[in-house]
Amino acid sequence: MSEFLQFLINGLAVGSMYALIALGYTMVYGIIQLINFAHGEFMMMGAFVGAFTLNRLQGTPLAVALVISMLAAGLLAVLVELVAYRPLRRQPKIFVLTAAIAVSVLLQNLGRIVFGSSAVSFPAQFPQGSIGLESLGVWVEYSQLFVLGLSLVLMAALWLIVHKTKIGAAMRATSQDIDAARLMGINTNLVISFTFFIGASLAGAVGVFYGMQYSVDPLMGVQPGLAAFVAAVLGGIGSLPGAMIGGLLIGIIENLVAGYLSSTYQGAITFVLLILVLSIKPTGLLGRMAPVKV
Amino acid sequence: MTSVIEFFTSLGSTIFSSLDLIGVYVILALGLNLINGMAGMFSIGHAGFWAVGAYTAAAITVHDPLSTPWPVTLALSIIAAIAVTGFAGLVLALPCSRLAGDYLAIATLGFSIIVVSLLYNLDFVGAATGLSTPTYVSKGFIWLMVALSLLFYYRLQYSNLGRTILALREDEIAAQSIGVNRVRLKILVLVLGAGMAGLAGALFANSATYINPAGFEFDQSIKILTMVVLGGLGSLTGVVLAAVLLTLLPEVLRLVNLADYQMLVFSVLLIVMVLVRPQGILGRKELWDLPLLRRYWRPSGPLRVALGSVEVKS
Amino acid sequence: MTTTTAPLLKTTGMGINFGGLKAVDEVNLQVDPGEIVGLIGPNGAGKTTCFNMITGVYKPSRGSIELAGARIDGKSTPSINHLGIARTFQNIRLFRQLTVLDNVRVALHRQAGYGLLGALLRLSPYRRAEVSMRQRAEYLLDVFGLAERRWDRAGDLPYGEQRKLEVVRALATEPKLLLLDEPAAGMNPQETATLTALIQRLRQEFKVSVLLIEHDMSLVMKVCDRIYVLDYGKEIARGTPPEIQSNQQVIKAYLGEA
Repeated sequence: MSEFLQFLINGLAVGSMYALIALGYTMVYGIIQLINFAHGEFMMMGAFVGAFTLNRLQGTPLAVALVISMLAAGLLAVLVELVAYRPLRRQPKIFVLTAAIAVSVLLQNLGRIVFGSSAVSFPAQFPQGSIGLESLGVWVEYSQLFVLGLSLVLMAALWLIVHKTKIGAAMRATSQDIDAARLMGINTNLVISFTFFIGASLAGAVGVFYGMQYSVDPLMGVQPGLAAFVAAVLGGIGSLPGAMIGGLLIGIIENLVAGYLSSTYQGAITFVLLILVLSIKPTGLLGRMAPVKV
Repeated sequence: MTSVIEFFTSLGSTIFSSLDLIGVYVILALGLNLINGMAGMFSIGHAGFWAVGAYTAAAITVHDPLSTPWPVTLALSIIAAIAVTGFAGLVLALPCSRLAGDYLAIATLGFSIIVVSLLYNLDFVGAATGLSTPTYVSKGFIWLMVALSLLFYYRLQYSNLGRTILALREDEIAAQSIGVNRVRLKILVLVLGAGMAGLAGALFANSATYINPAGFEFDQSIKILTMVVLGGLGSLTGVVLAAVLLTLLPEVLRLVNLADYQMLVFSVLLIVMVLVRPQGILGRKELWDLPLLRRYWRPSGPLRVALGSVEVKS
Repeated sequence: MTTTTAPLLKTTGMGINFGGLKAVDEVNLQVDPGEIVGLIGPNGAGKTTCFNMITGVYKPSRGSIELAGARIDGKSTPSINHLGIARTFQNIRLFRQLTVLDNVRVALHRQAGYGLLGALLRLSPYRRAEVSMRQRAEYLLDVFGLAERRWDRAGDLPYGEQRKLEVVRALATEPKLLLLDEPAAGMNPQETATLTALIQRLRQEFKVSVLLIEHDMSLVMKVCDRIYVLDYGKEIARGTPPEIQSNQQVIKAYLGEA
């Protein structure tokens, strides 16, 4: 039982990071129906910018480095959308998907050339140590508490932006019907840029969290990116609460599988889950299928 | 001057020694072109199918479970590779064929990553070291298979089935309204495209001296995708031309010491193509539309199939 | 019931909800064999939505749809086409990159009678089928005056010809019932006159019944035997063209729109 609880806690910590990445996938998909394959690379870029800032500007507080990482990842996403996605918006879908996958590979390789291909350790770590819950027989590491806590803060901030601000209302309107939103006088291009910015900055934050727990390398975005995408589909792509729940679930499932079976099959299980969700309930837990327009 | 001559002699010998690899990539690109170009679906994990084919064939030729004479073993390995890979395509197609194209993209992406990571861990196919494979097939045999694949693709496209596949790409709702069964057709396309990758895998495993998981990483999927996009989605001859050029590109980059920038070049090429010339190098044409060749041969009726970009959908 | 045969198309209490709103409610349509029936109403009245339900694009939330006495609601679009319903689209949906000829040949796909292997080997069944499909397609194109255009890209045709090609494509599937969604939209008066004659010819020569959505009232009144009028997703009137023309409720619905 305590073993199970321990896996659950570890899963929640990783899952909260998946959830933050999944939010970006789901927001972009909700607005322009595009799977942004480069999303995982925004996370990687965030991690590198954070590491770079802390290394070069000694004494930068971690919080400042985190904000810089988020800004950098967000701005990069805005640039990518502007240059590579926007011109293709009215073309057959396959072209923008191709552009997205190409941007993903391009960023990985730019990362490799600029930062080198070997993994580097992040210049800052979460405080070491853990809290033991004796009665349950489980340990919660400080880093897990930080990640969970910060993730919750970021999710709350996102909720406020989407539901309590003017641009948030514009985002919701645009995701309902982009043409109608434009007719209502909403600057949909701005809304799309803003959505990319917010989604990628969340991924950038995850990059820093990831780096602080593991290490930083140009391919670090691939696995979490895929897991987070599965999370977004599981939750129902386009749904923000769905992405959060999906992320936590994927994190937990992965940890249970790694714990009870073998970590070799962790990735394979994520993929099998994707195929199962697509076969059984393609709209996910909280999603709904939009009617086709004829 | 001597260095220029040296460059071209080494390029020449590179081309000759790459002929088998070029053949393999032409078949891979044709398979992906069937899925992405003719059918307008979006698969990005073609190297995953290729790996399944190569490892299926290698497992048979290396372990030779039935102890058959080598030509029989070779034939068995090719047939098994096509069948197993086609089946993998079926498994991926079943959940995705009803859904929007993006789901297929992520399913094939995930599939290719998982296949490679499993291969790294499966001891009976040599894990990370890979397998030493017998070299049963010659360049001639590979190019015979290339010719058959081209014939297969061409005849499929200019048949009743090919027209319905193209119609489905152009407009799913309209195609269904005239009785085209979308799900069945998409499954068929993915099985056929994957099966071609299986053939390419069998040829690769039977012509290379060894195969290992690193040779089927996601980079390879991107390379094949770039061939299809550069050649023009749906263009038959354009994709063949692009496959030849892009198989040689890494060799050329190696000659000028830029091998490290290979994937950078491929990804930039992809982005530039979709932004600037999404219809591919030949435009909405086939080689037989060029004035020089047109005099000798062209298909019975013109059928424009390259997924062009001039249209603005309203 | 005045006829003894089963109606070709009959919808009973057909309705659908979009996000809690009743987009179409309680629509009872009937088309008898050989009839040309009009479906009119202001924009947004739910006419195209009715077509989408009949052809299986949308699944109705309520009611039933019968074709020649057999239930078809809940069936898929392709199987409904196989059973004998074909349609055109309000926003033209041609296979734009394919040639005019191939747009029609695709629609003949069920006549081919050869499969993948036949296509690859090109034996005599392939050749026979290809010849007969080509002839059939050419004949249909000729009837609609599009034969000269056979090698043009469908997307390059002028608007009026694109609409005609959609009718040809639908007709090629040999339907019993043809649903035409604003076939005259964007046509000049001369083209509309040709179209009117063609619709009448559909019934005589091709033995199809027609259910027609159209805003061009001169066309509707000229070709339709009976007319249904929808407004806000509900039927507000039905009758012969003269009856509809003098119906106060219909006049109000149309004037209210402007």
